[in-house]
Amino acid sequence: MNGQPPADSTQRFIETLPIFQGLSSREKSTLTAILTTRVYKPGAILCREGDRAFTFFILARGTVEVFKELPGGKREKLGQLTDGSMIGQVSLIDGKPRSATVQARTQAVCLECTRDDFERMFTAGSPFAFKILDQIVIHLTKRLRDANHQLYNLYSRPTETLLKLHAACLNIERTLNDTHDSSDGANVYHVSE
Amino acid sequence: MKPEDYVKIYNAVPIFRSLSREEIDEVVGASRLFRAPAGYTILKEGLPGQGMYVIVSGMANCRLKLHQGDETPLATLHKGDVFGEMSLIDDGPVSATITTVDECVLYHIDKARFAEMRTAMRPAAYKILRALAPTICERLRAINARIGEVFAEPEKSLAIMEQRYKQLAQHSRIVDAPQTDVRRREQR
Repeated sequence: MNGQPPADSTQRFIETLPIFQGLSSREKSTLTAILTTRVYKPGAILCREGDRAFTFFILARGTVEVFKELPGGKREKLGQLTDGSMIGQVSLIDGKPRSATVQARTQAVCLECTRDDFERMFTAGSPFAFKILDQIVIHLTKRLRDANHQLYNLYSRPTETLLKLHAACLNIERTLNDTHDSSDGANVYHVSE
Repeated sequence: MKPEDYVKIYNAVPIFRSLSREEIDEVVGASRLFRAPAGYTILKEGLPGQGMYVIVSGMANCRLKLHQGDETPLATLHKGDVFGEMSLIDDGPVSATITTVDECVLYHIDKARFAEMRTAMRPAAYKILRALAPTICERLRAINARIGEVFAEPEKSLAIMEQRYKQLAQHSRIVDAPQTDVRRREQR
């Protein structure tokens, strides 16, 4: 009654984000009660690869980066996500641990939904749950098509693949040489006594 | 339908197990059961999607056609396995060729009829999508693992790729002309 809800409130995001468009006011108030707004500082970790997962996020505002953890504490950036993206939806579907690490690049505001709440809404026939599922399967299918295409290119463009493999072999060779050069290699071979 | 018919459907089409009988009735109106002889190509890569198929009995092969005209096998599909499921989700082309190994009985859900159910927000359609999602995740993980394997053991893959390269060169099927002399790089 007294004007608009605060800019960072769950209710405000539900009124403004496209994913919630077209929902009944009853469903919107259910969601206001169910979803939790979380604010992450730049550099904060939203989820870590390998962790067991019980929630997923809708990124309401901000930019986050997605990383694949590599051996030796290294990581490879897979991409970045902005307003309206979903985070952690693969675990929602298959119940497996997080498949990537997500870190806030700017301040990130997320709406968090638990798997249990999602399942309950899905079973009750909630249009919100259907819309979320729609986005998830469209996203997964796109990724599967991309992966198929990558595999096709691997075999169909033998020259390119050969060059990539040569580069990979050279890298291994270089790593091996580095290892031999380093004083006595004690940091590589740990012989337990 | 008679009660035993529902049992038959639940057994033949595992992804329908979360559907109520009323929902099954709804889906049955959008689908058909048919028989395909051995060696019959049900889906051809690159053509528009037709909907989803479930193998009720029999076996089928899934292959990826390569640019040079030969193929690489992707998977063998058995009773209860699905294919063509991506066509229920988006409008992209068929992503692999599916050919029966022996005589198959197949259950087919029509793409257009399913799209109507999905647009109307019918729970039956969403329960099917929910049941399909883990399969799509699994396929994605499998393909990514296969791509990863190639680079995990580059020396082994190098030998395989060079063999393939030679074979293709013999049949003059190399289409992506080398920008660098591959043979010279080999000698390094």
